Amino acid sequence: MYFSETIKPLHMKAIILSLMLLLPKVIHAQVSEGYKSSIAFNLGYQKNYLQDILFSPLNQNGGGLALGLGYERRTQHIFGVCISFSSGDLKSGENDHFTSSYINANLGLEYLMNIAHQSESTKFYLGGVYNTRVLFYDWSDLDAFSFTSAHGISLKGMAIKKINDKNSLRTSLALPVLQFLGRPPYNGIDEFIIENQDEPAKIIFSGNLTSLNKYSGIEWKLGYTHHLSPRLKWDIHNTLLFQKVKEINDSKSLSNTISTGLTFKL
Amino acid sequence: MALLLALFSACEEIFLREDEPDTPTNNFEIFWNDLDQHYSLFEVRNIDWHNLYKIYRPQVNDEISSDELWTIMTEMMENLDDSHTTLFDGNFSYKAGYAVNEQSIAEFDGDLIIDQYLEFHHFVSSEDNLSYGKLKEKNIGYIYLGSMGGQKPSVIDKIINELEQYNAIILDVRQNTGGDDRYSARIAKAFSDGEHLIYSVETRNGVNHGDFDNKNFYYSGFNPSISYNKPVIVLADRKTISAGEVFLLYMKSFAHVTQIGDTTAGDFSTVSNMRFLPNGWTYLYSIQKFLLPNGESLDGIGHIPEVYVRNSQADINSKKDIVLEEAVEYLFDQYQIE
Repeated sequence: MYFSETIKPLHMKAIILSLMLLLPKVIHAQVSEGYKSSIAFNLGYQKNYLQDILFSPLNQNGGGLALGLGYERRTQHIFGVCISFSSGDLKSGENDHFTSSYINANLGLEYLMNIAHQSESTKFYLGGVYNTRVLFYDWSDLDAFSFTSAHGISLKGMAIKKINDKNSLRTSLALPVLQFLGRPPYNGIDEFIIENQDEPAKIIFSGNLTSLNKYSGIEWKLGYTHHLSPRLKWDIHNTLLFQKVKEINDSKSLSNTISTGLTFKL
Repeated sequence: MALLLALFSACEEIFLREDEPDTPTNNFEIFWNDLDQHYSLFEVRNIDWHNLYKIYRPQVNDEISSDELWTIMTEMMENLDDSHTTLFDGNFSYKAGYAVNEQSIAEFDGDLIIDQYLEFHHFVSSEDNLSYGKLKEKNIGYIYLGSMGGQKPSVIDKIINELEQYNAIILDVRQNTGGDDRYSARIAKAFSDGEHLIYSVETRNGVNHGDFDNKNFYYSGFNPSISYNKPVIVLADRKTISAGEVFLLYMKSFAHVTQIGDTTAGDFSTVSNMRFLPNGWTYLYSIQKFLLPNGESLDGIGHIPEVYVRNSQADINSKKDIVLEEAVEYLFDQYQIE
């Protein structure tokens, strides 16, 4: 059987996108200094470097547009939900001979507690984040494909430095500790994938519970915020994400997203 | 931000290893090792892959041309005799053991059948290569199924409804190069005489040639209200491949089905994802083994017909399909159907 002849090429992408877009209120985990509730929109560019032996022995690199949307509620502590999505091309081989496409999507839900004994101008937070991350890439309408999906808990720390009444800086670091990890099987395809090829969500969201022994990563964010008006802020931020899956077919991905956007007070 | 970008570039160097060099030796090594670790049929086809390395690896060095590397690699592949193992250079492809399958292209002419043998003939527009009709002056229906890549296999029920009035059906799957095994199963269901264990599938899942996951078992479907159980002749040839052969696994388990024609290709497995080499070539290979209920494999063997017959080029040139004529004769001899 020729798997690639029969799988619906756009299903995988459509399902991932739908899952992300159909989720209810989405929020971004950026700190909305001074706002109790806020919603944020971001637009940027994501650059990816990728090694996945299961997909190809060749390193992949490329990028594409990145979108982010978020909601945050801030009292003494911070509750936030965010969704981000990026799609673009990955090049590989001599003279970038091969072009694959990728989708990188993330849904995050976080609760960060204000740590006591801090100064007025600098605040520290510590808490947990639930993430659903899906990195999916394919070549020539699924003639080749692979993915890493990770759903789980990370520890996160964040610091906010208020420069003055209008400007602030913030940075955060998240480390995954427990994940439900989804990866293709040893040979990329098996009977489970063949039988469920019309239900790609079932494939991407199947997996095993794993911890640092198999999945490790780090997400570092750095951002700058400027108050444009009492109800509107402009921010620019950089997000660096490294993920590594350690198995027979190792994979590593490194993505960097530079984006800018507006945050509205609700 | 410039600092961040610089840092990011540095991270790339730290976290990702160097890219694979594009040299003939490295391209050969990647290809050989990939098959060594993932190809599924070394044991079934009795291939000593490590011995082939000893034969072909010394022929490769970094001074040879791309054409020379192509020749060495395709000659090594040919030992697999598995048309699911394919090498592409961007313009041309090479399928292992495919030459004999390709010969059969000249032994079949669909237009000839329509013009010379059919009283009426309808194409099913929704499907990839499906048509049906009735043989001239015979009480025999005819179905041609050239692909298992259609989208709506249940259309076969409608066809069976129309052909049910005839005393036999000739089901022609010559030149059927496959598609979706589920499509094969659904078409076969329209001819099923019961729920039987048809085959099992194991996918290679480890570095050793004998590493496979658990068997998945496949059974024939059966709906007694929509099933054609009068005599059925399946016509097959060397280019009946993959899901086309899986279709025959089902059909040949039914008591009222007879295979006439040539032996099929003997290539059953699902193919891998496309694989990549630094020089821009791509390739595919088999990743599974299909086993009959008794544990035997038809990979490398194919379905052997009950009645062996092939068209020659001369037959086709003289507007004759002797395979089809043999099927008609068989129906008369065995069942007195004409």
